[in-house]
Amino acid sequence: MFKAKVKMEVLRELVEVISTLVSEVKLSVSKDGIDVKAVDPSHVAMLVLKLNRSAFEEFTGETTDIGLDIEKVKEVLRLSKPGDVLDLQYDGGKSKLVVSVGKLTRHMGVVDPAGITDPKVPNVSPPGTVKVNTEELRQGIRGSESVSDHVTLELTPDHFTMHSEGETDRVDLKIPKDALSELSTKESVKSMYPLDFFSNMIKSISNDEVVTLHIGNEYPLKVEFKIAGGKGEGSFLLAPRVEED
Amino acid sequence: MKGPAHPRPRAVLKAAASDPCVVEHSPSLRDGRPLTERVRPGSLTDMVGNPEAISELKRWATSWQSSHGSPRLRAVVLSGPPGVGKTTAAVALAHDMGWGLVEMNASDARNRFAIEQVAGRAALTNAFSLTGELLSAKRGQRTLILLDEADCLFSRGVESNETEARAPPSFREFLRTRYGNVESLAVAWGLGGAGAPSKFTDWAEIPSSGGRSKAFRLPAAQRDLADWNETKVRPDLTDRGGLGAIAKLVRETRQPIVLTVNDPKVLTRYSPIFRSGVARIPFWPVRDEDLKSVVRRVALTQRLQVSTAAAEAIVHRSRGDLRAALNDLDAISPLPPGGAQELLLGARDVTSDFFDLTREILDSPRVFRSVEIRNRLDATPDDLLPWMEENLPRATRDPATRLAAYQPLAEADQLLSRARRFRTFGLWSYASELMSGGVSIALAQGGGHAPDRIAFPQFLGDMGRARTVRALRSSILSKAGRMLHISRRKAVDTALPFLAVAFRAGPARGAHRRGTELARRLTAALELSAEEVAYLTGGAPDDARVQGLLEPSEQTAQVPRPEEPSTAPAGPAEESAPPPGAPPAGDAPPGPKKSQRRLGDY
Repeated sequence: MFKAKVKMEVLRELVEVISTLVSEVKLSVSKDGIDVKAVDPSHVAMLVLKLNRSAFEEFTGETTDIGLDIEKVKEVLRLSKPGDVLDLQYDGGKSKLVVSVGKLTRHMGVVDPAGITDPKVPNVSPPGTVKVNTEELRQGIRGSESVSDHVTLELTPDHFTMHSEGETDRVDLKIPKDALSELSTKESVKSMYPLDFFSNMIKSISNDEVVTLHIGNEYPLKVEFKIAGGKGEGSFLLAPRVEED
Repeated sequence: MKGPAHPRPRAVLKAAASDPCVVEHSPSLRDGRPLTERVRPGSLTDMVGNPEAISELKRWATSWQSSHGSPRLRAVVLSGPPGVGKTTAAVALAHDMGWGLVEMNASDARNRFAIEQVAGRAALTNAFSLTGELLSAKRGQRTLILLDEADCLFSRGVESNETEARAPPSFREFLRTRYGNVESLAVAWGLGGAGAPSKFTDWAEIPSSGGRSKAFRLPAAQRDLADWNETKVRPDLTDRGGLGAIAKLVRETRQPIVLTVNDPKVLTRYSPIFRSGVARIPFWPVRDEDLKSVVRRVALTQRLQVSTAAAEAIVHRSRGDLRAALNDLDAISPLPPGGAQELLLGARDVTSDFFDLTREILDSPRVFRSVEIRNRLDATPDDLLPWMEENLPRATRDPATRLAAYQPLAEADQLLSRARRFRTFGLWSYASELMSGGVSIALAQGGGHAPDRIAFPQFLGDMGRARTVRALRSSILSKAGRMLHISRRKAVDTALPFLAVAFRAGPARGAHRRGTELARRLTAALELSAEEVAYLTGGAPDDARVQGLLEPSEQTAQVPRPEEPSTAPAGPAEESAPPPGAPPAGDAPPGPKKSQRRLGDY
């Protein structure tokens, strides 16, 4: 059983983050809120996310899993306007998820959660940590998009760089340590990642002003972020590109 | 073959085992999954049949471990008939090697985009395993990319060419096809009346994606906009461009790839990379002894009651298809062992019946068999005719007997043709009688008898092999026909020869370049696919020349649509046909063609 009222903006944020990786997702409801774990079909990126009950206007939940088709939720969101409060209700099992916004009610068929991949999330702790302004990252991404499919993130004790190299061109975004609110690494580390994933991830969380990136040497990237104004938090994991030797 | 351990209620099991008549339908026992899933081997060592193929597959996988970086052959093509374990081997390989697995099945959308998105990303990147580890290629932890039934991509692509819309049309195009001219549009939307927005005088006034002016807010316009949006968002689930994406994947991948196919020719015909750039491992039908032991073992471990005769029938029917054998076993196991099981298995099996039936007909001279034929074959007498035709001359060496036997067969052929043309299927029974009784009696009188081996009709084999090529040809013909306003059949004589000349590689000088430019413009105007261009040039769809022709040339892109198609098809006749002034009378006259295009456009 799950019953909640949620602001349209919060649900939209949640949906945007999830839809960067998957089109169907399993929401694990508990009495404390909602947990999400997802892996994209190519097993390159993962998402772990927790939305506390305080992010909702009202929330009652018993432990249950809901399999959701993200596209359907987006359709409902398109029908609502900023400031609306959506009413969600799910009785468990094969029943439908009832979503109401204003006078409109949609009885949404759910997906069998057993059919959705439920990944175990690896314990990843990259050695370098940096906090970067999302706006600056987005500028770097926009610059890289026309140059290459991949982006290299590098962290040295005194600056963070993001660069991307194509056949003829190269784009660098270099931020020195004093312009960053936090930078900690003992040694220089760098890894190369698929740009489209990185770009979609950063775009989906740009409501958060500052994101925390954890970087290692040819190691997965961990992007930590907050959603719903700090009432939820999550992290993306992104596997590095295979380096040929 | 070990079954994965699945908890089963003991008590129920005992009851089922002691009383063979208990129908095992309870889902708790059969747990809803088909037998083939329940006993699918998890490791290569548990696989049955094809030992050479499996050890070769292992060797290939080891080449990823031993060398630093990727080996030369980074993809492997497992080819073979259905149900012999290609996919199972690939999944088991990933398990044995401790690799991750990214799978794309025929049920997924596998067009170019989807393949690039899923397999393409996985091919260049490390991945996470679903058990919570990072798989690092550096440390030999690879991710196996499995493209199942990769040969099914192609034929679907070709078939869809004809019916399917290309890029989504602009709103203007959409309206133009819906209304034909601006006047009908004005009527439909109620434009030009008192208080209504004014009419459009030209299609060009309508923006390509709908506008903000008053006219577009009319209810009728809104409906059209909604319909147009509908056509736009429909996801493309066909496999177009899939093979091209796979070829690219094979070239660039840094992770191991397994492709499974029934017919490897579909791939090798498409691109030489599938010949020299991949390891090729054939799988063969599983031997009868192996099948027998599997059926016995599975029946034992899964507590299925099967009579010996039924087990043998299963093996015989499966013809080396292990999956089919297990499915049969699954199907009959709820029945009590004995007659009922065999009866169910005795249900007809089309191909085998063709072999048996042909032999029987040639050997037993009697008539009144049309009903029997109809009952035993899940096919029409049309399908039986090639079998008789193929095997009749092998039944006797005596020319006079052959003649006598061919006589009724020829008459049967005539009747069949009449039945087809005039939809008088009552004639089928006469045709059946003639080709069975008539032929066999003539043979018996001349001392002929069925050959030792009944041969599969060569004609059907050839047709089957040529199917892809014929589909390509017919798709080219319909595209050319649409442009020239002629039928496909007519395009065979009037368009195809000229297209062939235009696409043939010329001498590598000035004339050649002009020829190439012409071919490129034709490619763009007819919207030919890579496979179709390859058919016309006689090359492979991904060789440099074909790809070159597919690239839009500057000129083509900028020439406005109405002029370009009308000059292009006329081109080959004027430019490349050697006898001057040779446009044959059969060709569509250029005059009306031009004016039709113009009217349609503006």
